[in-house]
Amino acid sequence: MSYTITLNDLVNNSNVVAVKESGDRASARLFLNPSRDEVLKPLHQWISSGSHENYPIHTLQLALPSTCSDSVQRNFPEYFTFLTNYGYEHVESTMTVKFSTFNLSYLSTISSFSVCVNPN
Amino acid sequence: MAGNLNESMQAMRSTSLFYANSTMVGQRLMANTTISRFSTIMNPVILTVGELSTIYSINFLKESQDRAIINSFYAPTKESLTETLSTWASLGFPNPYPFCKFTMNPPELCSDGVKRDFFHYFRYLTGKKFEDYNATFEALMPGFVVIHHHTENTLTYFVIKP
Repeated sequence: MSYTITLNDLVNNSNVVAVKESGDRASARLFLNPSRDEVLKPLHQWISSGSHENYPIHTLQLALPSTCSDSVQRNFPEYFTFLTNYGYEHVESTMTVKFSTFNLSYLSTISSFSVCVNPN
Repeated sequence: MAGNLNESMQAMRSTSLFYANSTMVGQRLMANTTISRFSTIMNPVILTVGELSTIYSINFLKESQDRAIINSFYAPTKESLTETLSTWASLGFPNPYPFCKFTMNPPELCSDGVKRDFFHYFRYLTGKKFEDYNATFEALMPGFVVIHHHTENTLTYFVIKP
């Protein structure tokens, strides 16, 4: 019996993808529910560095799988929705409540989504 | 003051509005269990600008006060040092002899957002390590050797008669 297992075989293994999605889903859930202590640190850094515009205080960063467990390729916003059933607009409305007195903005990259603060 | 009050009222309004909306979200949750895993029910305001400003100011003020305490600690008067060393002499110069110490509790979070223990907090405030000040004391009492010891929040300097 002769066979080979490649890195791609492992990465695309359905169990591996499912475990990764489960971990990413947990990260997304935490991202939607930041704690006060968690944001105090970057907010202190924001003030001490001069309260610049678009300062990220809370970020979700995920490595996108080449294909999801349903065999669909997704970009970051699509993957976020796939994991949570929510779009970015839900993140924005949630954060607007949690940080109601802050002037917020949002920064999106190909592998992350950040909540940013701005001077009022 | 008025600003803080307005801010608090705004936060309360936002919170009330949120709770009003959460009922609707809750109804939707009953029909969709997937969404319920990411429920945002009961997520009120976690921090306001006013609270942040207060917390930051308190931490910043504590740092200023602690920096002043450290500065005065390393500049003892000749009278106080003489008195302490005289006591040491009257005891027959036991080595090592603790001649000064101070206790300091770092804030939960420094003003730059970093949590530090006593050792690193001291270095953050002064830019120096504890041992860097051995020479400061030795310069005040030539001929003696100064060593130090620190615990979780207390720094003690000892003098040794060679």
